[in-house]
Amino acid sequence: MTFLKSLSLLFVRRIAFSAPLIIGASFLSFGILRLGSSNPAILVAGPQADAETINRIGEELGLTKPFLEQYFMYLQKLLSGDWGTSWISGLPVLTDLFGRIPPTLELLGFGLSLGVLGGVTLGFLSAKKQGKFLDSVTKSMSLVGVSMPIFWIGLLFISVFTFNFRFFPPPLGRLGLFDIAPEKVTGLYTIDSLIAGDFGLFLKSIHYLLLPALTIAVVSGSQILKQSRASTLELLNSEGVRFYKSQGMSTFKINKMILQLASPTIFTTIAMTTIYALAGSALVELIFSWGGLGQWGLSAITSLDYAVVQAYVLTLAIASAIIFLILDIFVALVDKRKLQ
Amino acid sequence: MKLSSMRRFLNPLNVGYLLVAFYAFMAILAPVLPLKDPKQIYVDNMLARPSKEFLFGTDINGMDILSRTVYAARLDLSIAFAAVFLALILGIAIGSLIGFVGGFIDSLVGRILDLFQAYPVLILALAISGIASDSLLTVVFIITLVDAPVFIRLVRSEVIKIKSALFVESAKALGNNDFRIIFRHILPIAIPPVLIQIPIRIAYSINIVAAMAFVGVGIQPPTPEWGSMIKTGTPYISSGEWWIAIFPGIAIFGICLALNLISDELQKKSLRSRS
Repeated sequence: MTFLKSLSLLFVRRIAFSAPLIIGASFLSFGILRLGSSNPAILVAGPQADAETINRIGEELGLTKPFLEQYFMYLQKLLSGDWGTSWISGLPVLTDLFGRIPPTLELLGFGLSLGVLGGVTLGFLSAKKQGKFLDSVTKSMSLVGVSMPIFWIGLLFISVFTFNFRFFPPPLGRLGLFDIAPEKVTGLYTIDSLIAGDFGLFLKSIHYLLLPALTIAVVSGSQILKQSRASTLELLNSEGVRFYKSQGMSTFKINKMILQLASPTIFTTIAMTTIYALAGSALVELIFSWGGLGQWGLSAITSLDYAVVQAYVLTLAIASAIIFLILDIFVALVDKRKLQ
Repeated sequence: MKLSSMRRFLNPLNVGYLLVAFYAFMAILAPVLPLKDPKQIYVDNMLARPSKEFLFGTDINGMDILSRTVYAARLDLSIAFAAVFLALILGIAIGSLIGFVGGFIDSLVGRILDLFQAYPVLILALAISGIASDSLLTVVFIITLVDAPVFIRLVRSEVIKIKSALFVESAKALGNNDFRIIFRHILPIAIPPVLIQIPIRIAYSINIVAAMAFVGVGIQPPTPEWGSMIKTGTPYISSGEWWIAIFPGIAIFGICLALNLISDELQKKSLRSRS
C-alpha cells in the first residue's frame, strides 16, 4: 500500500516536472510560425488559399494583438481540443494525429525492443569477456552502428535485403497493396490480426515490419550496447563485486546483482535513445512509407502544412514527457530509495 | 621490427586522425584534383553504372557521383566545423557566466537546457529550417543552436566544480577581479575536458546537415551535399541503381567512424589520466 502511495506521489512529481517541457514545446510550436518572414496566416492557410480565408485565419490567430496574448489564445485553443486544420487533407489536425499514432507505436515498440534486447545482452556479455573475440566484435559493431546515418542504413537494407535477396516485401507501407487491414481495435496490425484470428495476416504484417524495425534496432541497439558494456565493466571492477567474488558468491548471483545495479543507468540510456529514436524513426518511416506520425510530420514540414508541423512538435514533447515518466517508474521499481 | 612499430602507429586513435586528415585533404584539394565538374551534366550518361569513366557512376541528371561526393565534403565538413566552433564559443561564454554567477539565472538557463536534452532536437531543426530560408548561414545557425546546449552544460558544470577550489579562493582573496579569475584561473582548467566532446559533436552535426537535406530542407540540389545526394538516389534503389544513394552514405559513414574512434580513444585516455 505504501508502495502504491509513494508511486503515485512520484507520478505527481514527475508530471509537475514535465510541465515545463510541454509548456516550452507549446511556446516553440507557437513561435515556429512567427520565425519566418512570411505571414503566419498564409502558412496555416496554405499557398492556395484565397484572401478571405487568409484574413479569417489571421483573425483567428489574433495577429493584430500583442505577442503574449496571441500565445495565450493559442494555448486556449490547444486545451479546448482545437489544433487547427491541415490545408492538405482538409481534416482537423487532432483527428489525423490519432490515426497516425498506432503505426509509429508499432514500429518504435518493435524496433526498440529488438535494440534493447540485443544491446543489453551483448553489452553485458562483452563486458564479461573483456578483451576476448566477442568483445572486439561487439565493440566494432556498435562503433559501426553509431557511425551510420539511420536513413542510409534503411536504404542499404532495402537495397541488399529487399532488392538483391528479395527477403522482404518492397518498402511501400505496413501491408501489401491488395491486403486488407485487420479490423481496427488497437490500430497495431500485428495485434489486431491476432485478435481477428488471422494468423496469415499476422505473419504478413511482421514481414513488413521487420526491416524498418531492424533499422531502428541497429542504431538504438549500438548506443545501448556501448552504455551497458561500460556500466557492467565498471561494476565488475568495483570493490563490492570483487569482495563478493572473493567470498565465493555464485556467478549467477553476481550477474544478477550487476544487472540490478546497472539497470538505472541502462534505463536512462534507453530513455535517451528512445527520444533520439523518435526523430530517427521519422526518417525511417519516410523511407518505408510507413504512414505514421513521423512521415506525417516530415511531409508536413516539406509541404509547409504548418498546422500539422505545430501539432507534431507538440506531440513529440508529450511523448518525451511520457517516456521520462515511464523511466522514473522503472527506476523506482528497481531502486526503491527513489520512492522516498 | 618494422611491422610491430607500424602496428603500434596504426592504433585506433591514429587511424581516426589519418581518416580525418584524408577527408580534409580531399575537401581542400578538390578543385585541383583530377575530378569532373560536380555540376556538369553528362546528357549521354544518365544513371550510368560505376565504370572507368565514372568511377562511382552518375545520377539521374547525369552528374558524376564521385566528384559530387568529394565536393560535398567541402560543404558538409565546413558547416559542421563552423557550427561546432560557434557552439563551443557560445558554450564557453554562457556556460562560464552562469556557472560563475549561479543563482536564479543559472537555474533558469539550466532548466531551458534540460528541455533541449529531453526533446528530439533533430525534428526541431527540421521544422525551423522548413520555415527559414534555405541559405547556408541559416543551416549553420540552426546546427549551432542544436550543439550549443551540450557545450553550455559541460562548461557550466566544470566551472562550478573549479570555482570553489582553494586556488580560486586565494586568487579572489588577493584581489583579482572576477573577469581575471574566470579567464586566467578557471577557464584554462575548465575547457580541456570540454574539448573532448568536439569530435562526437562534429559527427552528430554532419548527420544533422545530411538529415535536413535528405528530408528536403536546408541545402538544396544541385549543390553537392551528401544528404541531398542520398535523397536523389532514394527512388532509384528500387530499380537497382544503388550507387547514387550508397556512395555518399559511405562518405558520411567514413568520417563519422573516424570521429567516433577519436572520441572513444580520447575519452579512454582522459579517464585513465584522471584515475
